[in-house]
Amino acid sequence: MGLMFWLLVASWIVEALMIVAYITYALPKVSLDGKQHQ
Amino acid sequence: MDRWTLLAVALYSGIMVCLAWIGAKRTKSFRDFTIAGARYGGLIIGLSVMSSRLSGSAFMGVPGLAYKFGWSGFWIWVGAILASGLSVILVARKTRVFSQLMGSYTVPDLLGDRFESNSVRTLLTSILAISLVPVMMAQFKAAGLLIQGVAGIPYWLGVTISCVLVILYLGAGGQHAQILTDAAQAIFMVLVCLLVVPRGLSLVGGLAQLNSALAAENPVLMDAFNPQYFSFAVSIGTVLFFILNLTVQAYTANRWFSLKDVSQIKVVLLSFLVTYAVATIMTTSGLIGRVLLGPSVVADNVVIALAQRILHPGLAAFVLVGLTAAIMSTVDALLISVSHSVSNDIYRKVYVPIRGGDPDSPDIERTALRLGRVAVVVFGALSAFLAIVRPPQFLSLILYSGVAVYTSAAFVPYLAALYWKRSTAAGAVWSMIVGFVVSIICLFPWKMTPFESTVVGVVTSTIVMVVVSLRTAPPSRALVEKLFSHSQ
Repeated sequence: MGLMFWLLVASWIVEALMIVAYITYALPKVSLDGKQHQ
Repeated sequence: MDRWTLLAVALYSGIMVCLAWIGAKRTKSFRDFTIAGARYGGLIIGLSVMSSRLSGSAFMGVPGLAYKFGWSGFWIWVGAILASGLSVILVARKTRVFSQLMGSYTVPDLLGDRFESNSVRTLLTSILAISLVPVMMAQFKAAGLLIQGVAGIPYWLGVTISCVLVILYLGAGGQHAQILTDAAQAIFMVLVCLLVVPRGLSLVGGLAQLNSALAAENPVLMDAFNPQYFSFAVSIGTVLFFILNLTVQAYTANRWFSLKDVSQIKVVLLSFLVTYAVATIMTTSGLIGRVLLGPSVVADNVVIALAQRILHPGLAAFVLVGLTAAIMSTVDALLISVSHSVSNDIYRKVYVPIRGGDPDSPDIERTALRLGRVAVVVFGALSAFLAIVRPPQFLSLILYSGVAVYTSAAFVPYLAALYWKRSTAAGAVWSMIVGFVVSIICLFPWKMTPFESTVVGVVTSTIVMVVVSLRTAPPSRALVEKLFSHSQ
């Protein structure tokens, strides 16, 4: 496989890690009414 | 038009009409027309945003780039994949929370409310309309050409049919219809990929054989950089452009206002992981086309030519309809976005208060709803008319130029509104004006690419925002504290 294929795989993995980190650590901290919850 | 095409067109149109009818039934108020009552879950919103972002460009133009330049054509996906999640993470939650607290319905409305300034609201709405009409023209031209090719009817009739269809379902169902039809069109688009790529790869003999055939024809087709187009600088510029553009893209950011709760953002993000991977795989069809069809096909038509060559006529007709869906799902998002700006941002939030009226009164909301429907017809017809009498010569150039101008003007004020308490209305106004003017100068007299123009526009706009905000009086402390204490 060429370099571009692995760049695409890497960007998808970076994206997946970023999304999982955001969902796990940032998103649950606040609800729509602004109250903190976990 | 053969019977398979007729069947596929009838199926597609039938589904769109049914969803428009559901949207119309759900549209009982102006709030329904603009933010769909803020009642949709993450999967529907994720699919609808995906289909609006990935227009005919992603399903025809980008495979065409891969067909012409080989693997370097995939650079657009490195940018789009990285931007897909980042754009949501940066703005979706705060946009939804701020809009709930201030009663905002659109991005210009949110900025107007946040900066307590009708100048901000009016200026951004005007820039939105000026920059998106050319983008709509480009999309109508693509739809007209595609329908002309599929059905064998004149170009003007193809544009007219696509315009009438989109006006009908948006006029009837507003934001509800837009979200529902776009989610359905996303499924069409995913099916197109699943039909074309596995069959094409099996005919080529698999991915390894595909690469061998490309390398045998020309080793440059396997390279990550191609000096003909995707040089190192253009590739990096492409990635930056997508991150900036998708973050502030008004015609998809309007979907964050329709989420029923911020917790649904995680479903949006997870859906993107799947749908963007599928859309990336679609670009492989360009490489498959290069091997199976040779190098003499018009690049933008490679997916159509490939489908007609390798699929049963019934499935090929379905692919052509799926490609039409890719274009229509972007046209409707652009059109409803301009309609909301006229009916809500200009009429309800600026004109009515100036005349001493109450923007929340039932009479005003009814008038705004009617005005929104009229704006769908007027701007849809205007863009389609212009696409017929003066079809833009270079589709991608005019499309990306419109996007570059809006992004240059809106990126900094939008991010500052959400993240910088000290940012002021004067800072927002001047950063918008400077971003707008600089990007136009870069694009036209200086002939820079839309990617480079956006980066220059955003950098100058940032400097202006910081300098002007720090030299003007701070914004109302009460509003800023309320917003930021609820969205940390």
